Amino acid sequence: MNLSRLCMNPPHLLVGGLFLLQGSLSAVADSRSDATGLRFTTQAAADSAYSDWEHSSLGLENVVVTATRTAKTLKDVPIQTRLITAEDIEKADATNIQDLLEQELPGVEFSKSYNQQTHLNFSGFGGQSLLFLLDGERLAGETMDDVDFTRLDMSNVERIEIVKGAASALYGSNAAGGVINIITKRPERKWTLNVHGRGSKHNEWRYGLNWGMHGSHIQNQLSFNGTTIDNYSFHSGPNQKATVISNFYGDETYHVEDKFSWHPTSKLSFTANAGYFFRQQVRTPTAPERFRDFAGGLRANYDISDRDRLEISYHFDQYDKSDYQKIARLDVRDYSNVQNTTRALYSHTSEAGNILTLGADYMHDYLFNKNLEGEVREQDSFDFFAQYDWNITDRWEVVSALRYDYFSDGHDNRVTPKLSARYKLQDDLSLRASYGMGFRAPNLKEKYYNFDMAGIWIIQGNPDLKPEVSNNFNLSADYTIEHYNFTVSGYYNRIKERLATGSPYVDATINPSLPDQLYLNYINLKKYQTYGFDATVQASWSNGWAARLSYAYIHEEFPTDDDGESINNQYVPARAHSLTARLDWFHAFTDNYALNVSVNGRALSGVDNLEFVDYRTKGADGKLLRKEIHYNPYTLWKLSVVQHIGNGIRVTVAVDNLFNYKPDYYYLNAPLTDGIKLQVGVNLNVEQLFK
Amino acid sequence: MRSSFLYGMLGLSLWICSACSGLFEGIYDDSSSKGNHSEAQGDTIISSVYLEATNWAEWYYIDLHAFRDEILAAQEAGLPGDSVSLTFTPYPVPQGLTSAWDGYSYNRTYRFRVLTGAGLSDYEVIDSTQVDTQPEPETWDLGIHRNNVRTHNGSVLATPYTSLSSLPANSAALFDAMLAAGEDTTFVADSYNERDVWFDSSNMIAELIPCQGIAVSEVLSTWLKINLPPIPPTFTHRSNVYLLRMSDGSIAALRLANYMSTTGVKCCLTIEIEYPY
Repeated sequence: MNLSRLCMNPPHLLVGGLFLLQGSLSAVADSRSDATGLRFTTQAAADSAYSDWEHSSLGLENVVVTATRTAKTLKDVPIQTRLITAEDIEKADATNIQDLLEQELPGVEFSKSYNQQTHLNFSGFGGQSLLFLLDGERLAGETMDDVDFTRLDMSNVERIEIVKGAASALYGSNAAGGVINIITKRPERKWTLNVHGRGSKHNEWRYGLNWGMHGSHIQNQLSFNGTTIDNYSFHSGPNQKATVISNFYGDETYHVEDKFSWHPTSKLSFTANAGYFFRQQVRTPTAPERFRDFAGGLRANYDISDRDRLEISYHFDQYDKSDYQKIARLDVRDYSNVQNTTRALYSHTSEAGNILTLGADYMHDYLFNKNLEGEVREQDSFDFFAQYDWNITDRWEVVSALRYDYFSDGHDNRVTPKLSARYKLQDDLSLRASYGMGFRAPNLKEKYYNFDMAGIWIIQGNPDLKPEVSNNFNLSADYTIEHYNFTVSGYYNRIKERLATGSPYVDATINPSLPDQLYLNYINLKKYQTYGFDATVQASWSNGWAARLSYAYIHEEFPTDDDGESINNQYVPARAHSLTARLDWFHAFTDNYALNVSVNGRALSGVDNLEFVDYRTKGADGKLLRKEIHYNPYTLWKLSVVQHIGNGIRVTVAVDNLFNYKPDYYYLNAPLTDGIKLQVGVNLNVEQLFK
Repeated sequence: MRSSFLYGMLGLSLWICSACSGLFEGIYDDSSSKGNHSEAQGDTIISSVYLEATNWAEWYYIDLHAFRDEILAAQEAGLPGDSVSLTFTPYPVPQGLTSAWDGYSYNRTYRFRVLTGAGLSDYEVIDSTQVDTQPEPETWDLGIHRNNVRTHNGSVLATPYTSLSSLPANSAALFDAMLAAGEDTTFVADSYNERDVWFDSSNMIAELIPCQGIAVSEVLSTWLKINLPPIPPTFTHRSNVYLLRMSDGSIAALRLANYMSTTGVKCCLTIEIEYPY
């Protein structure tokens, strides 16, 4: 079977997904288990067609698992965790993780690199310092150090848990800036079938279905989603001061995923999943770029006793890039990252409710890249960790952990500690503090890359890179009174030997025939630090109104090189001030008609960045001349009206970029909008039509 | 219960062993080169020539007359046309003046506002240097530098046909068909150009592109256009058949069949030739 045919034909994709499922092992999961294998319960069962919407609450009773790898309610979790629920996602009408995070979190900015790959700056961290997990598993593949955000579509997501900085040391490499764990839906009714579609300008379409079945011993959740959007152009004003983007390159994506679970006994359960993702972007009509991902896994959970639980899992993830040469009809792969991960996790709960968690991961990392020295590189890594969650009193809870990481290429290894504490001053007021040490060994690309970027510069890997070590501190307070919840948190991150690309330089000795060739090397930066704070106030009233206002302040210092000199950032630094706001109103007029109106907005301050004049011109001190570029502040707002018609039909009409904002200059960190955008969508829950 | 667990783990182990370097390799194509092809049909040669014109600072030349003679000679000797292959000798873009100036050859560095302005139409000259005349072989018909093409006192006509096999029987029939369709059949000679022949990309990020001042075929060079911005540049390929009328009056049909190698490297040109047409 030639799967390349699948890429353009959605119905065939469904068959392909089932094919992949059959190709995987049979089996899997426990309806009471979360994606991490831990026990999990949702806050609200859906009693009526509108229950998810009208029972809106502050959500503090929701269960989260990411921070400690054990299930805790949001108000009790000892490490500050931000939860985005399925309801939040629906209200945001987000297509993928980028859409969602931009609307939900301050301190988040997606920008573009020179070759228009997407880069995320999240409170001063990005790329290889942020760990995205899908159902607890890391994602293979990267472009310009970031994961493929379009893989993370939102139509089948149950919730997203975000743990920033300090507390994420349990996840090891790539987690110094935080962990973003996306947890997909599992069927909770006998059967469910959701069909949805949305259209907008630039031929932007989103469509898909989610089909769930829940039996006494088995469950299955199948999802298929597709998106398309055309290429279009931007027009900037005259006399630009920095690089501008003139074209938006759209893409088409297809994503099919199946998750099957089986619990033969009350103590044993298996979960298997298989998925296929395809994306095509056409920057050059005769050579579309293609991106594919094949994922699959098996997880077994075994309740050894009422207090002891064992989870063993295996996960496979393969992310490929190829160029389809239309003229020669050749689809030639030039990149493949394959990650095979096995994990064992054991937990014991004492009579007092204290939890000891022991775990180990082994990963084989395979990287094929035509721009890699030797084209293929492989390495093995393993880690083990121990965590003790100690409920000292009703008010005090302390979580301590130690983790050891080892990477075979270079034999980099380190023990990293973590310590977190929560103190309940009173039932509705909690204080939290945490310290975590992060560790990241240089990856295979950073060590062995050799990429001639169209003759502009050559990016060179560095086999002598040292591992990056970070120290993260976090303090937060959380107070709830009646309909209101207030959260304030502050953080400080200090990173030694940060892994990054340095400043471009000319070295005629490398290739004497090209004396002016620019090089860009991966280096260790001596010092890098960020600090900031977030504040959120949210309210939910019984009359259908709800609101949330979040603010973030970020201070990101320019990184410095060996000489202590500030160097140019590859990307525009974080904006110091940002704010997100949401106001919702819900009202059920009759049993068959309800209305939800919401306004979402975000505002970001301007930012100054020190940039090279032209990478050539030197000052009197012999160093490349730089100039300070100012990037303007901006604000974007979205109005959504959702009509609930009868049982299970929702019609959404949204106006994105409500005030028709258009940047004067489409710099790399400007919002890629060409003005107001109308979006019309329909969402059909078929099973509810038969109620 | 225990056996289920054990079988599951056994299957897991087998899968792990087979998947270390990835799956589904078969959905991708092989990147091995497909090579050249030439044959003679009577006195006419039909050929597909592969040229790696990736070097920014080199011109390559094709002598269509000599190439045809070699293929016909090979056929007469009972050898296949593929036994004849073109050898491309690089002729570097002159970087200075080593003899008396010819009065027109310049190298100029332009600052094109491709990242911070209107694009290639928004430019200024940064420096200008008199250089030697572009070196070339004694006999040649077609000169190629990446996406630029020049002719040896020839002229070019773009046709609406998109394959050699779809062309009318001969050039006279083609002209008739084009005239009947209201198409222009004027052949256009080379013209002096100062901003299209880019011979150094190392300062492109600073918007500085050195350009060779040289006569090129503006018509034939439309078979491959480089679009800047964005960076890296994108390519627009025109796969139509072009007619090259050479100084002796003979006509060749030319088509750029592909501009990439099988591994995706740009400016690796596959040129289809029918000569004489």
